[in-house]
Amino acid sequence: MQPSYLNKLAYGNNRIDKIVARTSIKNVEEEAIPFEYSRKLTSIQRSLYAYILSLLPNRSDAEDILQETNLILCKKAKEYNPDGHFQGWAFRIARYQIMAHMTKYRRSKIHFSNELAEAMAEEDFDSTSLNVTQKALQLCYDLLPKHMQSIARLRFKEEKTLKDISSLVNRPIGSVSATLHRIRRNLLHCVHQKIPRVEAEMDM
Amino acid sequence: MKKYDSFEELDQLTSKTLDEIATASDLKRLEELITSSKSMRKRYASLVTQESLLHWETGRVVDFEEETVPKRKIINFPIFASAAAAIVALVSAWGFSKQSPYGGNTQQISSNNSEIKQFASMGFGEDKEPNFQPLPFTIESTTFSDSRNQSIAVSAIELLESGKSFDDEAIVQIDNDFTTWDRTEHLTVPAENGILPLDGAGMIKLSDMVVNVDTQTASVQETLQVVDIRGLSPLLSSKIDAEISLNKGATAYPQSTEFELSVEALKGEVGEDKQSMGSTSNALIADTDQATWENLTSSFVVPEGTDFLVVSVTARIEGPESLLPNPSGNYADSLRVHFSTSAR
Repeated sequence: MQPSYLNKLAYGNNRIDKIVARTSIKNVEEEAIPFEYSRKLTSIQRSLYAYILSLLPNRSDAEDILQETNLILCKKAKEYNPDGHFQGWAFRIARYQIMAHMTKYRRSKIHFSNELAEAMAEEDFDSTSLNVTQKALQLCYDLLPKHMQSIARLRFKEEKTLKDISSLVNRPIGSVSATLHRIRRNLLHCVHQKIPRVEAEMDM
Repeated sequence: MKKYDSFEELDQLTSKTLDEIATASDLKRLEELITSSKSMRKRYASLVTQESLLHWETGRVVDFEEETVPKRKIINFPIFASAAAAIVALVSAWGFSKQSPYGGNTQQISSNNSEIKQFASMGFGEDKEPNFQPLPFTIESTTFSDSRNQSIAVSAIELLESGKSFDDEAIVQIDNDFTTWDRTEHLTVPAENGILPLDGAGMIKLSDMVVNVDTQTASVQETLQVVDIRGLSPLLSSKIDAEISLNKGATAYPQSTEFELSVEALKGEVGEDKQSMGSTSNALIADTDQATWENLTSSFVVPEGTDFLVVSVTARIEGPESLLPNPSGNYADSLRVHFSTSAR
């Protein structure tokens, strides 16, 4: 529990939070999001997150930006042209949020430059191919050697930091990092090989 | 060869970046590589996409064993457990000991050792014993929806069995016939996300939800209290009444959150696996008004022979909206657990 003066500060800030929250809810309630729009928004979540992560490789920051982007996309539901390219539109909004974030935290955090945001292409994160990639990834994950599976589980499922994993498996951070590097390369290589077969099976 | 070497450097720097151990010069070099050619950019995008799938798709890609869990039924005054649709939990890598946690089970630890020895043979240093701490026992119950929460309950029971009166993660209260391990204080937060505590200056915040893309569910379960009633006279029958208030933070898009309060009775020898003797649960769908708290109660006639009672709360979202981020939080307050006894 925080000291009481911090609680009062939180309460003070919280009144603003409540107003903002209620405004957001009111907007959403008054202008219900069409089902088709909602479906499109859901379908691009993974690729949108991957795009954001490519430019803000800190997962906490990427999740914050994803939330902000989704908020804007929901508020702008009425502005969307159904004949337009939804993913491109969503990615543009995400890019603006990312660049604003980079500018805001330029001095306090290390990150990529704005130029990279201009260079990363939307088509590199095509949501339509993610289902195939996901299935291939699952196959490849099962083929990982056993000693790699435990490290992978600790990092990807249990979201442990390298420091935590290093303590748990009693290995230096450097060797854990090296193993994760090999896991990622192995999976990427395997997925690349499996995709044609998975595509063929999905077409059948 | 040069292309492969360049990919090697790109892959290494990307891996360091994704593990958040890259330096400023690493990031600068990585950016140079990414922007140097289309193939480099695509390679980087592929690695990041893979990473996002590995973290996001926790229900499918990463688990090794899949269980088909029957759909959850909501029943108001049940005696026995109800099934819950939830994320598949993987705990096998930690192993289980059939003996006292203070003696350990060398056979179980050996199987983990072989894993580490194989890892060590890849040339990462001297052959040291692993620092795994396997769970001392399991809880055989369908009420626990994830391994994290089951680990918490196991730790609580292990502490109560040890007779310790303190814990870093909870408060231990000793009454005449029973001892309560209470975690609510450690989950307490002040007002946030548009929610004011119902009672006092703090409220319980549940951990972040975990998403299962395949079943389109997002859920979190928190063990709040574990009551040790082994000291209760067998001549007495007992009943537990639990009550809790629930609320959820504001979201920008509609999300229907279901809360469930459950009480489970467990039995088992010290250091041994625990079996469920029965459970009760009660659920409601939360409204979107942060100004109001909703109340859930659950009453349970404790089965004879019960050793521990576990009080937990679950928050769950089902359907496509479960895939959208839910940073607003789920909250509980005013947990009241009343334990009463009477002669049989």
